[in-house]
Amino acid sequence: MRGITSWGSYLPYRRLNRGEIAKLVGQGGGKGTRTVAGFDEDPTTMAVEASRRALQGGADPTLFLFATTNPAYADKTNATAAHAALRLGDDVPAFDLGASTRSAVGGLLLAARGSGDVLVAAADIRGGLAGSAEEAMGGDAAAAIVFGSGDVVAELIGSASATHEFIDRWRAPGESRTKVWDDKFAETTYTKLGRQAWAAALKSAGCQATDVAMVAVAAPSTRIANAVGSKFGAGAVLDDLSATVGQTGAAQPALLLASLLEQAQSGQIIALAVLADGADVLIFKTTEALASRDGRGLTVAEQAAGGAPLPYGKYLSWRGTITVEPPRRPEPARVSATAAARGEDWKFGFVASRDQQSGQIHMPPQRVSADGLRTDAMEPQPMSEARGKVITYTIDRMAYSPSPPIVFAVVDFDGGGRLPIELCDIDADEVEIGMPVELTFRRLFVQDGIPNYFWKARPVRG
Amino acid sequence: MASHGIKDRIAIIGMGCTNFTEHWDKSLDDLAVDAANQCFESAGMTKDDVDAYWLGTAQGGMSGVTLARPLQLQGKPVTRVENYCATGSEALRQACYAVASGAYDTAMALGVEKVKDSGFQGLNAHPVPNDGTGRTLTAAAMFSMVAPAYGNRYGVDKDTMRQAMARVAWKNHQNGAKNSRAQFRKAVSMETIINSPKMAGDLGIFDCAGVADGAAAAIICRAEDAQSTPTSPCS
Repeated sequence: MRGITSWGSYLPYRRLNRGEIAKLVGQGGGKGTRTVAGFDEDPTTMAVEASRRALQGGADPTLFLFATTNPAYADKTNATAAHAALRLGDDVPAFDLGASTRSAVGGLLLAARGSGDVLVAAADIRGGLAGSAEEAMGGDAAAAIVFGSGDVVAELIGSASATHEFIDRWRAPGESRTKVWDDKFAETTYTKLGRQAWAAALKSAGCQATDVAMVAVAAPSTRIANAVGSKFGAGAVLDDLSATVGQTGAAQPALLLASLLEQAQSGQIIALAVLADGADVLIFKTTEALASRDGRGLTVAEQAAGGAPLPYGKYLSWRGTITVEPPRRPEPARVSATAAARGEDWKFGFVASRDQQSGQIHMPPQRVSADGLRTDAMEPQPMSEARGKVITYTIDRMAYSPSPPIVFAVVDFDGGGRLPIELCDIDADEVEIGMPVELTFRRLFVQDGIPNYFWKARPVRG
Repeated sequence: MASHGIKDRIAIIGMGCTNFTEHWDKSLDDLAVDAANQCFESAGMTKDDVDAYWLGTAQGGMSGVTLARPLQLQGKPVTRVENYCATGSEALRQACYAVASGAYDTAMALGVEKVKDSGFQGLNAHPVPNDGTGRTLTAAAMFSMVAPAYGNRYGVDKDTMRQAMARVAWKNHQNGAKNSRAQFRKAVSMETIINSPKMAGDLGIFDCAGVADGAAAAIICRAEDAQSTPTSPCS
């Protein structure tokens, strides 16, 4: 039996209230909220967060696939940074899928039909011009699905695709604005493609539409998702999270699949339909193992209910739509490629060193023990899953940051280790001594086109 | 093995010091020349009478050439040292050790910093190529982290802590008011200090050091030679 063995999702902390948009630009917006990736997040960092949750059950992937429509790098692979942050073995291949939404479902299909344990992560940051529907209705998210043969929670019992070339939306590489053609044209075309793939998938699974308890439809818009989903004849159409999260592009298929798994019962037939340059339908049957599976971190619904508001002006500055006066401080130098390569375990994997004799944890890793008595008597100590407490802190209103001020703390980790580290997903007046924190992989800044990835600490919430 | 120090073994026989201010019209070379010449005059010596030079500058230039060129030193050993905020003290310390060791009869220590040419606020270290994982805080922010931890550890409430820290700037500004070379020459009230805009953590503008250009120099000789120098304070 081959199917899904684990999953994880990640919704960034901040929410934009769509009602704020029209107040400023005189148009756009709508009801509800959308998720907003932090200024220090990109699809790579969000994919790491979702993947960490998917791997909490102990999965050991033999292949890693990553999809986003907004890759941090062109030419160079993005999956390798996530691979390093997840501390996957260097014999595990890590590949980017092409920068389209359809690549994300392509990754799921490749993993479902492939062999070994395959981790598929998809993440996206959706934007658009101020006041556009894409800005208001888009959302930022990541999700990760592990396919394998052992301990399957949902077996793939059928799948089918319908591929078609037509222009419903497009974006030139390097641009931030996705343009859209006539909505009705897209809806009509996707309805036809969706029905075609749906019928073929049911046939390959050997079941009827009424056998499907729940279908999730990932589409460029809620309107299209509902129009197509309602015609499938399944027991229910899963909420597409548009009221709280938004349409999350390349993340949408895996995110809805995660949500589907969290709402399904054991022994049910469930389906994922993805409408992106065609239609792809995956039909699963959940197993008894699903019931005994604890959530991998917070569920999609729990995360969608959480978060904190972000003022629209801050959103626009984070996205570069408006340029805010930076502190009069020099911008940081670009990361040294050679130094970063030497320090890969620390920079990406957050692996400290542990003195074999005293047990003391050294952060960053050191060759000489803190008592000065031994050299090269350390072993690697992974710290990315450790929690700690703030022992002191500051707010730096002068230092350079893509979004000042910097909230910074000295953290003592439970079980040892101390590190001065930047805090994130926190307002300056929230920080206090004793506050429990956990680690999150972030992009500190970008210089010369090189994202500077490293870890930050965030308050433990929920 | 122990640290013995050089107490009573050397004497300072001349000093020079520029004003500490935003010297928009003076370069690093100007400041170094002004401080050095004042110092030579104060000691009644010429640059050729000084056997060796130590330059302390954190961000003003690389190597002893930064001092040798403006002073047009010929055939003199010139060493540049850097030790963050202790850079000037370090130059003095090295010059004193050199004389105390017997290697030289006289030495000059000169500290100079020209920080207002950057256009940035605060002090900015030269970036050393790195992996991007180091802290990027200002010095003020790093120091400010002591306060919450101290208050928490010793049960000092925030207001008391704020009052106690403000005493430092209050005392320093009173001293500055009496010093013609000081950057700030006005006493400042506790209230003004406490209510000043915050820079980092609970540290306000008055708690953080002003950023100024300036230079100072000292000429050192062995203690037993001090009385025979041209302008000996002992004679």
